[in-house]
Amino acid sequence: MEIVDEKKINFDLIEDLLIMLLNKRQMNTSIVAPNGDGGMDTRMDDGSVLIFLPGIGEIRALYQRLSTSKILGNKDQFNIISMHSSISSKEQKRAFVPQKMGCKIILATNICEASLTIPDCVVVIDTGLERSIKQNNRTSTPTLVTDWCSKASAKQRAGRVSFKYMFYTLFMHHSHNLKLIGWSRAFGSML
Amino acid sequence: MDLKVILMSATIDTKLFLNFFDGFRVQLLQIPGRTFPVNNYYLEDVLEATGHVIEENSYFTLNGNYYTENESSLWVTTKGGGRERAIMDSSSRIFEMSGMYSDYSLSTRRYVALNIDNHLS
Repeated sequence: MEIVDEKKINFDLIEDLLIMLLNKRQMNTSIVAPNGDGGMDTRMDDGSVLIFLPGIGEIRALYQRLSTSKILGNKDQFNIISMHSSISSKEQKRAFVPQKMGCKIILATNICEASLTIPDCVVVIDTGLERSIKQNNRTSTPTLVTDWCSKASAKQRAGRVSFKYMFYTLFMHHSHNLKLIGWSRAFGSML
Repeated sequence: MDLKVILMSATIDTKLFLNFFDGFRVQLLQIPGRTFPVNNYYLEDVLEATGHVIEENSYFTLNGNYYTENESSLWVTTKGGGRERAIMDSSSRIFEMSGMYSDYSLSTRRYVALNIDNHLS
């Protein structure tokens, strides 16, 4: 079986994607849409990359991975920032400071989805997953579940690109229509 | 008479509020903002562009019982009541199901194409 399971977050793929975007920059060519519809000239050193993950566990894992990466681990060029409610606000404020050199890679949950805007964000990578509190009907207790975000959330995440667009989702086009629900059922469950 | 101005962001459902304040002679004033066009790239585009390889039966693949057999057969009832056995093999199904992915490379189609079928069944 080689059919991709979209619900498993593939850190290798995220790293590959980041390196691909980076290579395009070094070759000084514009990022062209993979399906050939012609992308705009977006360079990664123009701004930051925002990656949406479901929770703190995934943020920590990806942080660990990227910071030990041969290319992306370069502290002078890449500023990897975690955004989560459990991380101190001082740390989070770094995400809003414009970068003089290199680019910021911001790892976030759905706290970055609404109300806050990263000013220089040019690329958004969305896993399409979110963790929210849902009622378990059998035990009638609230449980924390990782599930697909809603279409509204996906749209909102795409809108986080502040100028010059690039939005990468790690789920398939048809899954957007078949798996994602229109609006979030869980209300006020930001993590 | 007091003038009340309600300022809201663009994402509000204005109709709902206009209906709620119906009878108060509410006027709607819209200040258009700029929106940036966003190019969406989905998983298939990412796989295509990066050339990322996902190994067979690895953690990132579906490990269900979907199409573990190379061949599947079904009975087709023909006109007049006769039954016919049709055999489909999975490699030909890949191409049948991937009409919408015809622009993608074979390896990308292998990763995503059969998935359509899983959703529909």
